[in-house]
Amino acid sequence: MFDLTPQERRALLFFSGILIAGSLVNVCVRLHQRARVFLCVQDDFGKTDLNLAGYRELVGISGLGDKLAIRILEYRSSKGRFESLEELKNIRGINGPRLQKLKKLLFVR
Amino acid sequence: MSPGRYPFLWAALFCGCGIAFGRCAAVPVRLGLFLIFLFYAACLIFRRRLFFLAAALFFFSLGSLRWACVRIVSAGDIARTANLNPGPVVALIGKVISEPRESGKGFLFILGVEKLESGFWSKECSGRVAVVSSFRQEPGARIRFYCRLKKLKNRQTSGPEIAAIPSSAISVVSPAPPVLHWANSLKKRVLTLLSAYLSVQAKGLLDAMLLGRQEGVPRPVYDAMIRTGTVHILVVSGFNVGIVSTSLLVVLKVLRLPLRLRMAASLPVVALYCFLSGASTPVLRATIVASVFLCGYALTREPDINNATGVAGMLILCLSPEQLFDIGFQLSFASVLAIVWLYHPLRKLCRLQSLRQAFLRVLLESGVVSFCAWCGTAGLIAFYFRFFSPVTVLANLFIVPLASLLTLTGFCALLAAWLCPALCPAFASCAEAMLKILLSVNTLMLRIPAASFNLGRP
Repeated sequence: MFDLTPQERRALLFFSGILIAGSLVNVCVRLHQRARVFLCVQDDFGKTDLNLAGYRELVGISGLGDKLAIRILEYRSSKGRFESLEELKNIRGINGPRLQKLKKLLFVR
Repeated sequence: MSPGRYPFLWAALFCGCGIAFGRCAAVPVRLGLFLIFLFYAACLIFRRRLFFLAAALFFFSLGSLRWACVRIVSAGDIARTANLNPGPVVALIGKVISEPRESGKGFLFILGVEKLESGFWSKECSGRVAVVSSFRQEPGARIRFYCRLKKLKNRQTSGPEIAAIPSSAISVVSPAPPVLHWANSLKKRVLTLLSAYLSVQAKGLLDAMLLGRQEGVPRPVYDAMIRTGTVHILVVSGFNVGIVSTSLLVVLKVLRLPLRLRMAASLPVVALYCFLSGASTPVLRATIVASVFLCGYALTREPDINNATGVAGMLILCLSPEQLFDIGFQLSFASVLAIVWLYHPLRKLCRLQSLRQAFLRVLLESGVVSFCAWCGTAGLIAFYFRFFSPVTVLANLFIVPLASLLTLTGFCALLAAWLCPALCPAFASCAEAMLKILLSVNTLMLRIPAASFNLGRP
């Protein structure tokens, strides 16, 4: 009808396919909360869990050197676990601006 | 690679060499003029025999001269006019010439200075200053504010040399031109609507992939993508410009418009997209290449990727020679030229054309493209980011097709948010699911042994 080339027909097919797939994903996420874990990007994606991270993981985070990583591990072993990221302020060498940077790289569950 | 076939590419290469020479050797302007005189003398004496040499010399000296011109601060420039050590409070009037981006202290943008006022005098002046304001200013708007001027110590390669620290509220003298105002408000509306259906992380990533705004990209994701060599998907590039122009051409074809009118209508839309995505080097290169192709088709001439890339390189270097030393410019042109030059010889060498299974052939061809881009950029990435990532070729093999699908879906979501908001949730959900898969694949790639090596500080 519109005298479309095969490539253009494929493009239209793609758009309709995406629309159907998207609707299915939307329904799945709304019906099952667990589907959200597999189909949505979580807020802590890519971040390091402060309560599970070892020395190597902590040293690999930009803004944390050898000494700070050791102090964090010492603090964690003395307190048991971090309840929130704000607790990092109690560690010598971590001030407000550095904490703001670390909040983008770490999380506490 | 004969100069007769690819004149623009050779011109850009010699111009680039001239700029590099100008920077390293600090060429005086007189020497540049002498070189141009030599060119004309050579043309007059030898005519055709030494034409290539004379042309090469011309573009080389043009590059050196352009660099020398950029280094000369004009009499009316703000760097000469204003007192910078430490400056008193002055009033600045100028135009917002860059897309404001979020920084730690507010919104950072570049102001094209038009007038400087202090006490009882005022002067017309030129130049650019970096400004941080608490509110987002509209690109294209003319503003006025009181500030102190300061010389920047660690400035970016092609950024301004002076920063203005506002000491009063910024007032808008005249708003942006209607087209820019419409484009800005459309962008704001679309992003607001899209953010309602996407998580914060997904919105930040899609914002970077579709509109080139990098401030919302989560730092861990960005670091992981640098390590796998797939960070290029977070930049607006030729692929995005291609999608915009192709989609528009399809729509206009359905409307039965003639070919030349379709091509002519696509040019302003591509230029508008370039402006909306911040006019960074990769998107500027891609826009110029796309424009050359569109003009070529409209004039029924066969466009050539080498010459189109050459035109893009020449234009960018002539407008801003400092771009030659910008990482974005180097990576963008290195990857494109590596693909253009290496892809066909490698394809022939691997005899991919003789493969019968279409799926396998497409997969291997994607692998070859990825390998070519890696060859072109691995050295630069190792030099600037101190990483060497052998996993890049494998990672790109999976991530580039996924990113292509994601970009297409993202554009559908943007269009739906503008034209038909009811369809937006479906497209946005699909885009988010694809993004999740893409990030999971990237994480998986990093877990492969010897995926990337940290080369350490030099």
